[in-house]
Amino acid sequence: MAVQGATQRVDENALIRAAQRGEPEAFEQLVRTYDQNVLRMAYNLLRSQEDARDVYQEVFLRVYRNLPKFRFDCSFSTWLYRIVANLCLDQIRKRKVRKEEGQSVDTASGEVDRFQFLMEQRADVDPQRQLLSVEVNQRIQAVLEQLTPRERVVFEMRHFQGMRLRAIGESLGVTEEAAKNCLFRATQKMRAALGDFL
Amino acid sequence: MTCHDVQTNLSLYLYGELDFAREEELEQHLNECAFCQSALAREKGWHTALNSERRDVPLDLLAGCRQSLRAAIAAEAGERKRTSHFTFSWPKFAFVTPNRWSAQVALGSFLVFIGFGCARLIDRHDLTLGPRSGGTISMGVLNPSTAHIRDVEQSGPGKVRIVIDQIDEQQFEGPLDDEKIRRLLLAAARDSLDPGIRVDSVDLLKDQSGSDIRDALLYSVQHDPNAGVRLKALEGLRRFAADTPTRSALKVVLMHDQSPEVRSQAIDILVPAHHQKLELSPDLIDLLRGVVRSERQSDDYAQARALELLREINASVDEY
Ligand SMILES: [Zn+2]
Repeated sequence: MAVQGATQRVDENALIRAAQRGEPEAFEQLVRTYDQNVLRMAYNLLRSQEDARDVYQEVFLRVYRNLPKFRFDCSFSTWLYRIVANLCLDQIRKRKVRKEEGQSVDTASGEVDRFQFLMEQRADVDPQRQLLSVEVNQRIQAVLEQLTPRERVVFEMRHFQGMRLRAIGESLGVTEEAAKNCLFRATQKMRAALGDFL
Repeated sequence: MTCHDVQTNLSLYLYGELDFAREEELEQHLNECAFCQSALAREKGWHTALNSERRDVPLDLLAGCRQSLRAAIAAEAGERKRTSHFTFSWPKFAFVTPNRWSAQVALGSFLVFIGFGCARLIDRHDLTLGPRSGGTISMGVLNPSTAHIRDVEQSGPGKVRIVIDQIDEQQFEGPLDDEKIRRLLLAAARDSLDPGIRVDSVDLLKDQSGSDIRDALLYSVQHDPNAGVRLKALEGLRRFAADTPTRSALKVVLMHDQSPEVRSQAIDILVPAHHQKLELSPDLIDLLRGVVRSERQSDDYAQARALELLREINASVDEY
């Protein structure tokens, strides 16, 4: 929609300054500029509505609390994604620990996924086809879980969020080269698991 | 560059993250090596498969998150107010409940509250409801540079509140089928920046009568970037399924929509489940053939259904 572009081109720095002065509308507009992407990232990384909700809340509360201290040393989005990436990393690590301890974790299967949804809705379709799609889906899930937490986050940011490696490095506090190596390792694993299967 | 070098770097290449020299080398190799070309095709294949497995955030999750954030920030702001001069309160009118439209909304008799400011706009467009009404709201009232719809929400049993971002706040009341309210909702369904508001507006409008409603639904189903909104519009289009413009739009959707769920709905509306002998028009048969031949994921319901329908009337897939 053309109108969308027009309004989003509001000068972001002016918006941030207004939010720093305590104008609630400015803060809300700032939140709304980014919150859908943040939530999409958290939801897809964590595969749980509950965890995604927690991350969302924590991210924007931290933004709210620390915004007065934001000094424009980097772009706002880098600053924001630094918070997002670190919180998501923490969550994924926590989950891995819990898993290793053998406790049940609400993984992807906690949320009824699209394919199951389709299966319920479309009981009359060829079950063979559905099994295949479920298998692909599971294979993708399995390989995503094999990535280290940092590889997973870098992959998410590059592949799905479309962020450049330089920005990803800045968000994670590592060099662009380190982010690139991380992405490289992630894609090797993905290729090994999915390359011949699809 | 060896084949192995090329193949391990294909993803970085697809992401545009190789430095210039390496990218040149890799492209040169690709030009001459069929083996690596097919590896590139496989690499693109799994990139695409990942995208299709991606999940959309449920709309009520987003609404719920925003609501909890408001509450948390309001609580913190209250705390700060007590302890310092720094105030930062969230707008007081912003309360949303998830699944807020799940309640049944009947026609006609409901009140609509519109909270908005900017008296200039109201005067200019004669937005007041009551004796002096008679003008209409043009879509221009929602020009995002001057106003934007912040929220559409159910404010009580059978009541709707539309909140427009402006400097001051004013409230209006009127029945849901009031021409001006309706135009405002139509504009929100189309122009709001927030998919949650668009889906709610479409939901509210979809059972109203009038060709402008149908046109709005047709617009949403074909142009809205959010699959949830398109699905909602499709729900409303069911009752227009016999109209020519609706059928044309549904055909476009069935063929081109990115979302498998939207395509699934479209085919079910075009060819509803039936018990008698199925009869399909020649152009519909052609369309179904197109759907069957299109490249989709193996689980695509619309495609499977199209094939099933063609088999049912004993039509071949390839015939023209
Ligand atoms: Zn080669």
